Amino acid sequence: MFINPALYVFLIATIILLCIVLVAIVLSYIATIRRLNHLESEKESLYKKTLDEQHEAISAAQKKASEIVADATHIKTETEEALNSSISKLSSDFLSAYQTEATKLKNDNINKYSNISKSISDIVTGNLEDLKKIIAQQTIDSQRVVEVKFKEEYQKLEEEMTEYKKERIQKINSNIYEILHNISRIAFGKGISLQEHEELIAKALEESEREIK
Amino acid sequence: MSEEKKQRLLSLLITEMDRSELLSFLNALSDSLYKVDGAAKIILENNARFGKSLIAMLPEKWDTEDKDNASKILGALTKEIISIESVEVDIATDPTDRIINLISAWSTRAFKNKMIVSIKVKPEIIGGVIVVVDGVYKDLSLANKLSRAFDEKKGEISTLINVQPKAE
Repeated sequence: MFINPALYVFLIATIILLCIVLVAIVLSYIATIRRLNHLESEKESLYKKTLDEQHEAISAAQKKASEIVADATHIKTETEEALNSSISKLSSDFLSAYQTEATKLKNDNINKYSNISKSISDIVTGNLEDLKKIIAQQTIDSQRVVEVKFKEEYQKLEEEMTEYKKERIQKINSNIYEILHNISRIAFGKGISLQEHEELIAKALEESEREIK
Repeated sequence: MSEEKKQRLLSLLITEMDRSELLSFLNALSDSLYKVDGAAKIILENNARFGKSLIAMLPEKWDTEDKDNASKILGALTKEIISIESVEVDIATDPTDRIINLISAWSTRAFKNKMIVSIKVKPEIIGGVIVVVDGVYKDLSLANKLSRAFDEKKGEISTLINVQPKAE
């Protein structure tokens, strides 16, 4: 097989070039690794340093805090004692005053309520008495009115009854008289003969003749 | 006209019916007097009750030559009959001749002047008479006597029939 020498040269040059590039890349990689390792070691040292500083600051702060807490506790105790004392005193005074005022108020209220209650009781009692009197008077008046009305009605009824009885008796009497009268008339009328009629007429005419003369 | 003859004719008048009958007769006679010759004479002679008495009162030729005089007599007689006063007599039964005669005799005795009787039948008076003359009312009936007896004896009748009602 025949290879073009130009191509051959070209290939060899290319390979050489590629090798050079590869070497450059490897070198660059190594340098990068080294740099990375350096940075890592710097980082660790810096971290360590930072931690140390933090520990120191925390210790200082703790110490300071302990001091502050100790001071605060001391102040607190004093304050509490003073406050407790004041409160106790104030409470005692206030309680005493309150009790006094309360007692006074209570007594006042009791008196007021007693007075009010008494007043109400007096008013109610008075009103009740008045009411009793009014009711009693009205009852008496009503009884009188009813009594008078009842008497009037009774008298009226009695009069009506008497009148009614009278009318009934008159009616009965009248009816009976009328019946008797009619019966008598019928009996007489039917019982009179022609001759008796003539005699009655003659007798009546004689009587009238005497009166006319 | 002779008074005696006139009184004889008037004596036949007892009741209002008699008066009505005589007045009708006189009226018919007067009407017929100038209408038909002889008619009045026939009417007069055929009236049995009043004819004879009336003829006696008239002139002899009353239906021929003396008609005017006859007419005057009839007119005067009619007026006198009308002017006779009447008396009302109420009775309880139909009037018989005997009753009419009784009433007539009574009328003649009781009144000075001639009176004509108006008889009315009222059974409710039971018996007796009621006389009404010149506006005066005389109740002599049996019904009236019975009513008065009832009124007078009211107390006794009431006791007898015990009509007092019981107290209600």
